[in-house]
Amino acid sequence: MSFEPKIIAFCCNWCSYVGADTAGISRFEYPPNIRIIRVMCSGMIEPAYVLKCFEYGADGVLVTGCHIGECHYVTGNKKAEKRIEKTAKILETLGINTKRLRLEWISASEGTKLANTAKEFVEELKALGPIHPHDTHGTKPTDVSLEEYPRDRFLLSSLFGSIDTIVKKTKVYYCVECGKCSASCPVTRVNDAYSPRVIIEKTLEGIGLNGEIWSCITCAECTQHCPSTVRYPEFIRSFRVKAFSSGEMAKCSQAGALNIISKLMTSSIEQKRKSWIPKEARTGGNEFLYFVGCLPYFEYIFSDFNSSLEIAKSTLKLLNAANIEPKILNEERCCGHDLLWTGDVNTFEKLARLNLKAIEESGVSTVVTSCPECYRTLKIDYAEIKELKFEILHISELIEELVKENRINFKKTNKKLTYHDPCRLGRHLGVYDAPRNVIKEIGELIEMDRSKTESYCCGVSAWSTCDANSKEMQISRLKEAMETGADTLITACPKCQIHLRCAVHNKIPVEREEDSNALKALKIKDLTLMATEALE
Amino acid sequence: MNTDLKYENQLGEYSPQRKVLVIGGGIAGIQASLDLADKGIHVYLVEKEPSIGGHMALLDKTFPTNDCSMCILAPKMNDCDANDNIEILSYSEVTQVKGKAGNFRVKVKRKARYVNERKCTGCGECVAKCPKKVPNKYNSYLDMRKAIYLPFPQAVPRVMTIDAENCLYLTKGKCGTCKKVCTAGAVDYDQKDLEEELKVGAIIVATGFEVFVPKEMAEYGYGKYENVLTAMEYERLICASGPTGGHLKTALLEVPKSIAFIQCVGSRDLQHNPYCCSVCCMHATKEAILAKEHYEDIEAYIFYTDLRAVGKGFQEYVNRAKEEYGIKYIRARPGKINEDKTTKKLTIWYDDTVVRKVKSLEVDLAVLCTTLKPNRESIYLGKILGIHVDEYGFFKVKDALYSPLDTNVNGIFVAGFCESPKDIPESVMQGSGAAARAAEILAYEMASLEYSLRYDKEVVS
Repeated sequence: MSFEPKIIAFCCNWCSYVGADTAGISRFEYPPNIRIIRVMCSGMIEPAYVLKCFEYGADGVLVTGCHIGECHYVTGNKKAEKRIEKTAKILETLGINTKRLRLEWISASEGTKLANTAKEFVEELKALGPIHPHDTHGTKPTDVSLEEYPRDRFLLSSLFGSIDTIVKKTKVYYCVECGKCSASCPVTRVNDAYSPRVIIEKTLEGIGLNGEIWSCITCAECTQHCPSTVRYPEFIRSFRVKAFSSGEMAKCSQAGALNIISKLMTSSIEQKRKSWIPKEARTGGNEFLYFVGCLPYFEYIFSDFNSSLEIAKSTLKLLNAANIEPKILNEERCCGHDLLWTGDVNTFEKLARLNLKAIEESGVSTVVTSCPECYRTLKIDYAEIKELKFEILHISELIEELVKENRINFKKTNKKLTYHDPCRLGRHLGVYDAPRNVIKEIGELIEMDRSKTESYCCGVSAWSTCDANSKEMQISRLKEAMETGADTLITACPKCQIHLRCAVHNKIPVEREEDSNALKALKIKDLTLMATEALE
Repeated sequence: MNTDLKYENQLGEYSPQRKVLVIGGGIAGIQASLDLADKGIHVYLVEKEPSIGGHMALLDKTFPTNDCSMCILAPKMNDCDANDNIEILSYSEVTQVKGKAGNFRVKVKRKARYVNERKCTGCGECVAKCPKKVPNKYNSYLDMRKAIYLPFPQAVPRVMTIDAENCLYLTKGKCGTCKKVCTAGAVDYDQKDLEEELKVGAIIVATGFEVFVPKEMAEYGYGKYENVLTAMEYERLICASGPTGGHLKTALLEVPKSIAFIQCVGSRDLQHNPYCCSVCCMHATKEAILAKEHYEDIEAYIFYTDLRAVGKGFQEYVNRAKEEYGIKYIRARPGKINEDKTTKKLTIWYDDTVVRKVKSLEVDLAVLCTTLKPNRESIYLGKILGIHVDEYGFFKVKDALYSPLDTNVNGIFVAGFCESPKDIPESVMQGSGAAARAAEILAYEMASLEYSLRYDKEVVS
């Protein structure tokens, strides 16, 4: 049977959809490979829509809209242009041929253009072949040996258990209902309808949970203080798995684009994720591996206000400065952190196995990450799947060590710096001093009141909790940083940086505008970037 | 002829001793010593601090009667000093124990205090002249004392001690003022640590507790915010003999208008001490009452997890605190304390579990009722004595029901907080109980030996 590509066409309500109608009324023939979805404007096709089509097995996506200058919403099609450009870059990194995504301007009268475009696109896709080389029906996960999950291990095993098991494994039954969790929860502080204690109480009394499990930012501040050592973030995570398996989904920002990208990485399509590496950089050693994480994808998605790849480039520069030539793998995939924390444990498991296989085959002894979420996931969650044969370090720990060994030197400046502890690095893994020691080498460290174990979350985790509460928290955090008198707020997490920058970038509630303008003066920088700038 | 001597002549070092060693000079140790002395038994009372008295000497009042703590304790301390049967070895530590019931040989390190105990009259002339000031441990480091000092006015023995770490003469070879002004000629800079060997028939361990310092519980900001105190610091502040003469003051030296007590700081907490320290519900109630008695208008709040008023008259005491004094009890463990940088006022965040709502409360002072832990040294002491210690450092008893004071070693008994969390009356009871058990052992050893001497000469040869 010959290959018949599946094409999803997004047609704008005002021009292109009518154009398709015209084609039909005029009885122009075009191949039936096209499935049309009517949208109000081509400008609403954000990356997630396109990515979702590919995830579900489309071989090509066609986006059509009004000609430039004719948009019903004045500039919708200009937005579409930008968005499609962004999407193409993501597709390129994912290893999906950008020819599979096409943007055309088709007016209401251009029925022939639509028919011709469709014909052309089908031919082109036929030449390219199916999106997955071995399977004509959507993407298929790469074959990795699936050993039995170690179900007796603590954290991950609770993901599969009954509510009773979750209660036991996360020590919920120790709860004395003292309320220390709710009293220290940063979410409760901005939204008092949410209370960790009430959630625990409800569970113990057998009352079902509703949407409240999605409000938790899993920052572990409650667990940090809990006298009964209830593992609240893991408790929430297990419940999210339950909710996910019954069809309830987290409402992720960017229409879930990042989760879809992670899912696409489970396929055997070969990514092209190394294109960012500067020519002068030295890579390919045998000892260290730099686990880049999702930075190449963040680069494009958040390009409006943030460059994530500069973190990757700085990290590489720092390593090179200490004469470390790290391996960087093209087979690397998303660590699966966000999927795990939004309940999609099956995809997480696939990613974990693929990554473990790739790292083990590379034969390195140490893996360095510049993202605390990768760090936590590899160090804690992967270790529960399989005994790790390599050491994992966060870049801050490695720099601290390199400075001690005198392999790297910084120029000390009189810059006033303050440091924001990422939850994953701090409370989840207890790394508080390493980044601070590095900062002290570069400039003067001024602590915020809420620091170390008492650090305040950036407001979002796993892209799933971004709402008005998050903005409130982010602005509160940035104000706190401002008040210390520091010029720069240092973060050690690419995601914290994105969230904090986003808070001042746009979408600020009107009543907050004054705050946000003042906050724009504050620089937000990643630790690696700061360190690279101070290299001697 | 004295029976002891008679056997000693015949048996040499195997003679059973009519003497008891009491380790720890707190209220339990004092009570045990007094009881044994009254039975005509000689007691060595070893205390590591310069004075006996223990933690009870630091308290202002006692619950549930609001009696003055020192007024009850001081006469007992003086009785110890005056009793011919009690030999107080203060500023001393037990370093080695050998032998068995009836005949223990104990080595005691007598730390150099650089003052001759026999000559010192306790006049205090040296203290007045000493130029070196150091934070005062007795007042929870809230004020200063001199490098030569009497820990507190009622100290027993009333002998000065030079703190070798801070003394200018002992550290730098300069000064020497105290020696110059001492009319009794008691100051002796050349004193060395001495080791003394004691022979005793039984040992009572009453090493008490130490107070948990809540620095690692960063959520409460102890050590960071000046208006956050521990209960022990509060006891000293509210006490007439304390650093402020019994006046409460905030960091800005104002009279506080509101005060909050936070219970279970470090107790009933699996991250710190899983057990209930058994006294903080009551001492917080007492401390809140004291605040109200000192300042009628003060607002006092107690944040409790579960109110454990289990002793005689305790519940009535709590009811009185609520009804007569208007102290507000809130069922919550606060999650966080924040400080306003300019006013230094504290905001306490808590989840009112009765109303089910997260609220905040602004107060001038917050008092953390921290947990009490067995002394750090108890594990080490347990090894010296060969007695078992549990995972928290409490000494284990043979059987909590039938022999609650006996340890696994025959002839060694425990009393007071070092055995399990308890309040003053219970510690006193255990002190008396342990004294009785020790006396019993001595009598038994004596009797059995007399029996063998009479009928079985082989034991002696």
